[in-house]
Amino acid sequence: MVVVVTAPFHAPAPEWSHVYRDVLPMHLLETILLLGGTVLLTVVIGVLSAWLVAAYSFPLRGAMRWMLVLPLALPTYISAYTYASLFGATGTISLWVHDLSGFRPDIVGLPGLIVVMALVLFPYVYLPARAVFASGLREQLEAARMLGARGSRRFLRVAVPLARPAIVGGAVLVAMETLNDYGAVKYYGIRTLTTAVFRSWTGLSDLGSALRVAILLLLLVVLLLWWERRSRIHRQQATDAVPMVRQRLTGKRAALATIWCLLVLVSGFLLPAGKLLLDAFTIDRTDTWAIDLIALRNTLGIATGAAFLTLLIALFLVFILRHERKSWTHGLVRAATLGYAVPGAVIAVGVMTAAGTIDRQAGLSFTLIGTIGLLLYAFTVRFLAVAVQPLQGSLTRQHSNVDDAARMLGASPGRIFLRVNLPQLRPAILAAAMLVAIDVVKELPLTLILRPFNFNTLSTRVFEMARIEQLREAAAPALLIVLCVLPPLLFLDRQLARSEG
Amino acid sequence: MSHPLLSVSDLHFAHTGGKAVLSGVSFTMPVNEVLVVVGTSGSGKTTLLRCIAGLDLAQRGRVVLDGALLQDEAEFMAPEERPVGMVFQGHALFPHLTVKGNIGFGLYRVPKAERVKRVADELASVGLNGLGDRYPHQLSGGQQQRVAIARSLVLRPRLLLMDEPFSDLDRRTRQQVRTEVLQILRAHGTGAIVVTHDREDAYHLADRIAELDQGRFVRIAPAEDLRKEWAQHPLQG
Amino acid sequence: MRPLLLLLPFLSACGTPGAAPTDDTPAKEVNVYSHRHSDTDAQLFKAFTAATGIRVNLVMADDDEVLTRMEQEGANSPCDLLITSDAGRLGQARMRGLLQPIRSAELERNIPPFLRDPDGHWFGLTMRARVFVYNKNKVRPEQLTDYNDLVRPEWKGRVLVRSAENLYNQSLLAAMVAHFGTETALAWATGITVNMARTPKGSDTDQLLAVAEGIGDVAIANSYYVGKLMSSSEPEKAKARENLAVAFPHMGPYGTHVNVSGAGVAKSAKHLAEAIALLEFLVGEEAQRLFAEGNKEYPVRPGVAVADVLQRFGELTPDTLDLAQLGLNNATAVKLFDKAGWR
Repeated sequence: MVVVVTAPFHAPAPEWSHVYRDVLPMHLLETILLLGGTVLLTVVIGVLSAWLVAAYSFPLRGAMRWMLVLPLALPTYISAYTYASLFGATGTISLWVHDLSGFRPDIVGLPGLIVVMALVLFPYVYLPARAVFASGLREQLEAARMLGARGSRRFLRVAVPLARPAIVGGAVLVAMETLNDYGAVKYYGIRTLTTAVFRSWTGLSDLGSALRVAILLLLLVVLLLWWERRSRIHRQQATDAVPMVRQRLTGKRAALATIWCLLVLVSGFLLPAGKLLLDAFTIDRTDTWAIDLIALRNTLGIATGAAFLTLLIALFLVFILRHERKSWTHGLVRAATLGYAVPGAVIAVGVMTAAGTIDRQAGLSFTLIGTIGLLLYAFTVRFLAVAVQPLQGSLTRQHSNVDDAARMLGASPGRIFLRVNLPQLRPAILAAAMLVAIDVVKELPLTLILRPFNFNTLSTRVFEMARIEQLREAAAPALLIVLCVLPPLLFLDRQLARSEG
Repeated sequence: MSHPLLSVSDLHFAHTGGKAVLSGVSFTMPVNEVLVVVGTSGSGKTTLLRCIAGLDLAQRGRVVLDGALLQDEAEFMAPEERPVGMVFQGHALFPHLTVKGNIGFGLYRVPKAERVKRVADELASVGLNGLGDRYPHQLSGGQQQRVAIARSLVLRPRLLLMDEPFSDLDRRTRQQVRTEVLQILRAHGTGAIVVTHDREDAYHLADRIAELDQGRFVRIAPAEDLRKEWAQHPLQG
Repeated sequence: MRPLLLLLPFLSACGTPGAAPTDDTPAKEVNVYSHRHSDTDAQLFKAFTAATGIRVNLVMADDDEVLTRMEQEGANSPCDLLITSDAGRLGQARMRGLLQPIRSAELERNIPPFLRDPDGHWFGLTMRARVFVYNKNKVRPEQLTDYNDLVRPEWKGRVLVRSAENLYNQSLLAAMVAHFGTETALAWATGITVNMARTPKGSDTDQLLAVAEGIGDVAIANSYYVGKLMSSSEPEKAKARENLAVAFPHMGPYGTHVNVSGAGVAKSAKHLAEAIALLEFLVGEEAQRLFAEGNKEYPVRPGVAVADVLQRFGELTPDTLDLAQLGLNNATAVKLFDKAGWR
């Protein structure tokens, strides 16, 4: 991880002045617009949906509650391609609308991309907001009721302010996912910092400039993370997991609630998934299915391998945080988990550079690059944060008193961790492993760069098909990705639901 | 005594699992009375308060407050519409608002100038002058309690429901706050139902004491009677 | 116990990649880094293995990432053969010292000189032309004889072309820079940008479909995409098939801009003979025919028939510019696009 950060300062950047003057300003502007729009929209969709589902009873509410998580199974680039094929200038639905009305909808563009990304990323806000609404706020909300506050007032004046840390946390995740995306953004012709990285790298063959832009990207993310910490410090929350008593909605209001949820679900998941299904079964190329199945096996393999490795390191980090209270431990953990903020491709290049250096210094007779080990290592660098977060969250709920008691009984920190902390962490460990696995299955740029020979994953298959403009053939592996991600996703949601009552 | 302040008839409440919590509670309260409800844990005390507040839906029963029907088989008035205030066991103060913000929360329909004045008055009456701009986590337990009470009282409810209001206060503060609360209730003419397991609370606050056991009142008696009992048998009760 | 079970899929996936050969002669394989389509290539590699017994191990990636990867791997790189879809990248690979020169009579005989590196560092395998595709109900082919024609004012709001981030556009402009210098090239890029029907979005095929829909009247696209579109059986593409036609514009006194998809032998190659064998196979009749028919590309080998659908478009007179120029001028082209505002 350290290499990725320091490399830019060593590498030469011959085209920097051009990049700085002509490329950077527009890219920065569009990045900020995209970020702002997406975050805003995801917060609106996510918070509103979470509130409806947590605070009220209405038809289909039970199903909506978990189905609104489904969009997470769609990687952003797949959703973007699918929407373009439906609502792009020459998309299926667009043509139909044009024939009927003369108006030609074209989703491909900045506003369109904001909508598409928001529809797929809002669960990052929906989930934490729902958790807080459903079980952390009951007393305050009831008190508000007794003070005469009706639904919308309770929502705006009590629920949302109190859920702010959770909402901001989700929003930051959305921001990072948006920054990381390359496929969707490129297809829609939006210029972001990430595309600038690639532009310098491939178009101008200037790796140094590319890395400098990557640093800028990193700074942006650090800013976001800092803002998130700030919002967390202000609130002293008592976590009482008392489940909400839901209010029953009737008549028009119930219908509105149901319609909203359905709308979000259909546009966020059912529509793109349906199109994928359609495409996957209208081509009859049996040979591609065979390749796709091998890709499936490979994908599952690296997902489990990466999850394992990441978990190991995450547990170690969490152990340090808990038991070695030195001033640098926090900084270390934060640096190690910064990988999530960096686009996958940049991490791949960094890891590759480091590996190359090691190859040369150690005089190895084979190259580290192209080994599965390096690929897994890169995944770990990128997704460490995903594993550390749930572990850390669960660990903080364990009282340090118990640790201290064990200490007094003569146990070493290592022993305490293994015998006391670890057993209680089991659900969090499972959650962390699944989250990492899900992210690895969906990941694209990093896998593309570092994969070994003859090694296809589902995401690389989608990419290859899409790049040779055979979007139909991309549907089958895309669908497989969704199917792989769905079970762990739903499982995790059920775990959450259980803790929300 | 003209018409009663509160009239509760045949209140039944059971959890969705089927377990009955209230099995036919009926009683009336005259104006200006403090009714203390005692009983073992699990006897349904809190549920009784929540049903009167409208936070839990009683399956059967009728509640009339000050001549207005709060609920019966056919109708149900939402908690936010009821002229009932409630002080919760954990205070449930809004951590993101100041003391003034908390107290003024229910006055949102009142024009700003008047709201400020009423908040200030209420602050004074609970003895929290000068603490208006503090946040709940910066206050002591007793102070938080008083904010919770002030918050409800500023709305001039006809009935105040209090659930274990003094549970996390030490003995001296308890006495102090208890006396203040009684004074305020009398001053505003507000009726109150107080749930507590503390004998001293019952002793000092109650006009009448009701004992709840397995979902129904087994005894309602003027406090005087019980005080005499306890004086005779100081270690019981 | 359970965590170990979860490791199973991981271990099984470890087993495959590039490791165990199927023969008892361990050297009989060749490692290829490729940035080309998978369909016909997979077929070809299988045919090659069947004919020679040499196994082909494949890694596919994006052009520049592949180059950077090879650089980092250095002398230990397992790559034997590098295949790209653009001549510029091959030139780059040579400049960065990643390729080695080879001599092969077979290759030199069957690939015209302007489609390969003079020193034998790389060889073009298929050719693609960047042509104009127009709506035949609205445009007469006489209006489209030169790349410069599209800069004329009568084309304002009628031109469709993909983003400047795309390799093929960059190579086109690089060729212009090589022939006419930066000023002329910039003027062309600016002129096209002014005449665009919309900000560039989507792929080459998207531009063609857009012409069919009337969003624009002319598109700039690669010949094989047009070929694929015209021979596709998908009903949505019917409108395109009925209304589109192809023009082969000249670049001033030179021919139509062409690019190659080609290959070079890596400097670090451990299986030199096998790599050359594969190269020669790809230039052989069977392979060239498959490229032509299967992928609608122009074969480099003389005597191999061009696909019918391409033939119907018209005669291709390629620009015989030394394709190494494409790589040399790529960075300049990118900067010019930025200056012109071509996104």
